[in-house]
Amino acid sequence: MTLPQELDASRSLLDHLVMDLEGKPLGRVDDIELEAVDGKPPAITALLLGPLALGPRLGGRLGTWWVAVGRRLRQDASAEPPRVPFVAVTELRPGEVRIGLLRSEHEPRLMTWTRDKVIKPIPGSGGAA
Amino acid sequence: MSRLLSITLGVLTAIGGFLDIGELVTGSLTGARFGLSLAWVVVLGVVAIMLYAEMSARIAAVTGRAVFDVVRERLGPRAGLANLTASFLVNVITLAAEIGGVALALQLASDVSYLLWVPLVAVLVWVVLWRLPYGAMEKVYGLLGLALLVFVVALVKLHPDWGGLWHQASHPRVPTGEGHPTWWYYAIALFGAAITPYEVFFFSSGAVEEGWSRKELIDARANVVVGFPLGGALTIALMAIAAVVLQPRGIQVDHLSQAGLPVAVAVGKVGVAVMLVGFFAATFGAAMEVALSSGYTIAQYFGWSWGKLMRPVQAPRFYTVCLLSLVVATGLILTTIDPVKLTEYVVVLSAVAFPLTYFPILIVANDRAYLGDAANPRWMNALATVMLVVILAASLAAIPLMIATKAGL
Amino acid sequence: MTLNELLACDVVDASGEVVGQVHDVSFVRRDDGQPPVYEIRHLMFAPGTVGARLGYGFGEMHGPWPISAFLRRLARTSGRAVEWRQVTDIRDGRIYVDARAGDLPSQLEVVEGRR
Repeated sequence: MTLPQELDASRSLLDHLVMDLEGKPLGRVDDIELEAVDGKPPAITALLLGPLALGPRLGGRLGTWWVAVGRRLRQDASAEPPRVPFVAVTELRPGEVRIGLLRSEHEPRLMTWTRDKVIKPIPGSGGAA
Repeated sequence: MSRLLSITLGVLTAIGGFLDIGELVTGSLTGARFGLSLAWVVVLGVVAIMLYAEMSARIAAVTGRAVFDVVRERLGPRAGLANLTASFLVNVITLAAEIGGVALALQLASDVSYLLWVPLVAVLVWVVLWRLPYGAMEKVYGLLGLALLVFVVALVKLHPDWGGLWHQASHPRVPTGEGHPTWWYYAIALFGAAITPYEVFFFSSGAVEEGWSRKELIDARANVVVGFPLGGALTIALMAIAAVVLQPRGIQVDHLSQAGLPVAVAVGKVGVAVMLVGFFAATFGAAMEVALSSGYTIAQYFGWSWGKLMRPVQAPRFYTVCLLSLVVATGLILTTIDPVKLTEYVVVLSAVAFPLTYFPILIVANDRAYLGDAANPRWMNALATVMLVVILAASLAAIPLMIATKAGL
Repeated sequence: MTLNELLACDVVDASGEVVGQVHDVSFVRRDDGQPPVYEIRHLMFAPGTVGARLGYGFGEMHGPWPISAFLRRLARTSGRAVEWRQVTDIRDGRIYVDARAGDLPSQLEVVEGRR
């Protein structure tokens, strides 16, 4: 499956689900990283996910607070949003962006935290310890 | 299982599933106060929910996207978040009302206060979501909900003036002694109960998770087209028995027991027992659906894994949200707030959030790049747009009417 | 730089007027081969953003009438596209372009021109 010749950010990328090799969702494209090199027009270098990327999109005081919460959760005041290098994108479909990575190797922190702190302690959660 | 049997099962589940605490309370309450003059609202509500449930299921089957995936993509993160906040709030309060409904049904059966039943109900809902096979559970409580057919039995046994009832329903008029604003307020309440958004969240998320293709869509359409109207008819039957037994005596419905009075009068103790089974099944089933819908909406907005068929460790954020909403809802109902009043308020307040949910569905159902030839035909667009105008009107009038009538006094 | 920093920027045309806000950015594949690199081609802007947001600027939404008729007209008449090479400056949340808005193609023309 080849990628298209032209694409519109809001139609094909922004707010779309990011799906890994196994079809599991990593999150959504909350923002897109651009880089201008050698006087050429800026090009897409990465997809940005998570509250640190979503905050600025929300804008205003809400957005600032969102980013602050994201930074507090990471306990890192200068954290940058998780990025998926654009070279990892394999396919664009309606509503989703497929990448050639495995979520299990790049698991979102909240997912790990809720699994360990909330789900596993409750009996019958279905996970091997 | 043969196709016919599975479709029948689906239809029967849809009938029982259509009714939850919202319809039970507003149906009997409006019947007692306004006779059948608001029956047309149920018809309107059934048409609206049929349209939007079908559209959201079609979108799910063709694109693999559920309602809140669509909301985030189409409205963007800001408007989508506003929608999410409103929907989640409504969901949690609805969940509290459903849990209250289950507990009230148990109170009527046991004479033990509903407050003592609430924690047990919450735990039961959680255990079913956590461990038990959801598909089987859905069929069980869907079929048990058919016990509410006792309303029809009661209506027949009451030997009502059928002509008179038909006249009331087909010539809606505000009864003497009641104000127009109050009548319209309860019209919104009835409408709100019929088209509560959690139904479309649940329906479309299930369609995505079960990987519906066009084949399953055809079966789902049968469920929707046959099941929902029959559910609406059941609601009207409840309205009618309240109109026949309670209205002439000036009895208003403040407690669930009064909703059951007409059944006791017409069918006796056995009827009441059957009715309580139906109450329990309808509200318990709804409680599970609402709890899952709280998780669906948030997980879909953020792009997390979600699914009622997934093991909790596979979708930990989703299950955490479901658990959280269950805890908050339980806390809310334990504040001893009147569950019946809470139901009345939440069906009206949820009307305010409707347009945010239903508008994106209509938009996406028209997108040919997404749906190809499965996009809405003209006639459906016309009908759905009319419905959206009605939905918008209800949403705008809800709060002013609530204030003007002091919440239906 | 992130895309968000471009989105919702005011667009100031050659006459010095604010002619809209950026609501979308289109990219074209730079033909350096594999892996594909997408560089900015057009900034799509309009005085309002609702219709474009909902997807009506792309010519594939056909209903429901009258919503679609209204929003498509809006997108057609006011949604415009400016090429990146026409951008002269970006500062303080404003993008300065060296053309007059009226001379620029509409967003719909650009999209249809691709096919």
